[in-house]
Amino acid sequence: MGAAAHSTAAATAAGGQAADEIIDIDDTLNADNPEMAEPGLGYAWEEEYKRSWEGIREDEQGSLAGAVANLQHQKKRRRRLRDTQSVQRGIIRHLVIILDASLAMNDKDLRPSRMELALSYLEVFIAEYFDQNPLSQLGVLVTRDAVAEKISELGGNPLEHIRSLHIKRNTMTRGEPSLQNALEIAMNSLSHAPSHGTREILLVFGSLTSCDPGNIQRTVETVKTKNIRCSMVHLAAEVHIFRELCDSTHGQFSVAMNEPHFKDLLLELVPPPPVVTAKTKASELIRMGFPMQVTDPIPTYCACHNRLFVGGYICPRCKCKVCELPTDCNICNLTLVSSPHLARSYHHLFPVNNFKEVPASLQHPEKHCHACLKPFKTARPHRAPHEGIATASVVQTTDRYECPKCRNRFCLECDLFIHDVLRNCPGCTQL
Amino acid sequence: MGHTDASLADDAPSLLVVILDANPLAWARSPVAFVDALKQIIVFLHAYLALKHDNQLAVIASTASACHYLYSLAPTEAPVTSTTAAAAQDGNLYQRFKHVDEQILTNAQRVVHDAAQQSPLASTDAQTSVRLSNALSQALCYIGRHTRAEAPATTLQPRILVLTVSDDSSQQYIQVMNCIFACQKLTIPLDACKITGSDSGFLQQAASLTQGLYVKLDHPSGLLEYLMLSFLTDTVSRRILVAPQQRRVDFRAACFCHKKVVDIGYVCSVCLSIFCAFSPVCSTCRTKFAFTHMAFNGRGGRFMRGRGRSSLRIAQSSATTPSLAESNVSTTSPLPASTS
Repeated sequence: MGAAAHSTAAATAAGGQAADEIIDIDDTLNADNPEMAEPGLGYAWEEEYKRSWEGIREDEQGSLAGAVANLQHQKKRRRRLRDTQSVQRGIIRHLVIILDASLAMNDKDLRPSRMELALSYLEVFIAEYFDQNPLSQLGVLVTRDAVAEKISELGGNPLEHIRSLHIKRNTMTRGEPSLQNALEIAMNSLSHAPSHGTREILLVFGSLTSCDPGNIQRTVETVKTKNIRCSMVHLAAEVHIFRELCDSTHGQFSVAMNEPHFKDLLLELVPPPPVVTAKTKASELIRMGFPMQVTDPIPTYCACHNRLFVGGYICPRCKCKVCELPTDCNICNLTLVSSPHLARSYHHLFPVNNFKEVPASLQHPEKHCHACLKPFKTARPHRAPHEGIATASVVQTTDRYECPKCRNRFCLECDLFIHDVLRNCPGCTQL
Repeated sequence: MGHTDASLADDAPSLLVVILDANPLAWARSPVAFVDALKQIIVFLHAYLALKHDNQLAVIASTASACHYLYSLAPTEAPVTSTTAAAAQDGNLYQRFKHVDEQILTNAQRVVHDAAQQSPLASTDAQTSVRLSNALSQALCYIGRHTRAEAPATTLQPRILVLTVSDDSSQQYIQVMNCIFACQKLTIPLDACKITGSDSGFLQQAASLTQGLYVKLDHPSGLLEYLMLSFLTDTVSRRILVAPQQRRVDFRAACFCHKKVVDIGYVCSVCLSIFCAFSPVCSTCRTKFAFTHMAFNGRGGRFMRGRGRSSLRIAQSSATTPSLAESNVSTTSPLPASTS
């Protein structure tokens, strides 16, 4: 990446960092994001100097269990910082992904290459996005050769977007990206999004340059006035204009340090963002239809794909048949959903509290995790509970995490599972 | 997780988590006594364990206030309570069955006894329901732990079976739905058996969303037969068997204001509450709605309902409604894509 830091004329050179290559980028990054300040995780191109085996030490009994547990613990800490305040969130989202398809994406500092990695993680992102935001829409743009091209329209079907990413022609790399052109097209798509939904742009860039036909500052201003939130995950380094775009639109700007970090950064953008100010967003009552399922054993055609099949749903307003939910009715444009789709979004409104780690100084009367019955390890090996696993390792962490509400204690795996998948505290009897 | 792929080995052992309703008040109204039902359930569990030697089992009892594990022993683990002298070898009994029986019966006795003492203090609403969401959450964590721990070669087929006599508690709606979505994500089928009482909306939805089975007993005294014929088989064998018919589940929503099932409703864009008629303020989150815009929408709706549903009229009315007209463009016509 280093050589690419000489920026071309069109791009504004990165404020303090990319322009000066000698600077220790780690320091500035850590200052910005305290959760990244973790030993042993550097930039991918520094990997060859790292001797990972030296970081792991055996304990007195020659077991690695303690060291491994510690690593897991560190990994987890990074993900613990989750906002559980009951802020207003934009649940109905409209997001345009802009993917850089310039030559800079061919670099192999992230393996197998920036482009291939970005494609595979975007696929994960899209699936996860629709899983957590069932009422939202998404579109994909690529930018190469100083122009931008729409490869999938704003829509609610994840398979369509993933399919468009699979087409090689859509994702071949050539020339330089154009931030301005991509933003213009994205703004065009988003201008039709209804006002009760959020408008967002997610940029995945590998290039430190941008080839723009006009004044990029003016475009940034327009994006700002249209209340579009721009977030960027950059694969190389911070560039001033990218940072400015994200900062002025209340988005996130982040630089991926290595492969897992890149994935984490992308997935951080999956939960709906908090609404910045209440007055920018008009709240509305949206008319939605709750269609009946077709029970007729005789196949009929659907209005959306003209496919002959059994089942489907009948729009309550115009009585045409659609194949899957959620969707907009093709005939009368009513938003069609089923109640589970709405329920799927409720966990954003009532998030699970972050569990607190129980300090070693406190009493630990409980023998096992409240949820999964996994025995907690104890400091003294002879008190180890029934499970035959060696628990004699040095205890650096108590491995107990307490729900602040119900005071039940959980193991590390359950804590992660509860917050990432389940979204319920098994101990709490009330929300 | 390893078990999420569809290509499960046909002979993979199962991990069954049974969630048992142990609310004494609910059982008191049931035509079949708790003790009788428990006997039949234990026979079913024996059959399940006998089906394959490495099948694993956990039983969770759920009362109106709490959840307890009745049995949670994987065959590889040592017994929780050391078998006392009373547990002398009985040549005619498979040791594992004996162990299961002892554990479940002693723990169930304790749980029901505790619950019976607590119940009078609890509120009236809580008396007839159980902590289904907590039990499901615990079951999912338990499954998560055991599917994680296994080596990829020996995947378990997890599933959950809910046996209940209690009514749904509407306060738990969100938590139960969260559990259902977690099941869906992990492809864990959620089976439900409603032994007595009216149909359970939660469990019907759960079964249909997770490809599980829902059975409401017509003859509660024949519980064992229903259990054996419907819930004994694992997910692989179910593909070739005829499952009990699941009636179509109504996924229409009930409005928050009158609890009326609606075809076309109004949804608050902030908190997703559902209303059957337009109101200027959301009663759940106190958000004030943009009134002028909605006035258009509301009139459009009444207009159409009153005057038939010809596509011409719909086109006209949507043209007068800014949001509809705009979203129409976004879904159908491609946009100009040249800027430079």
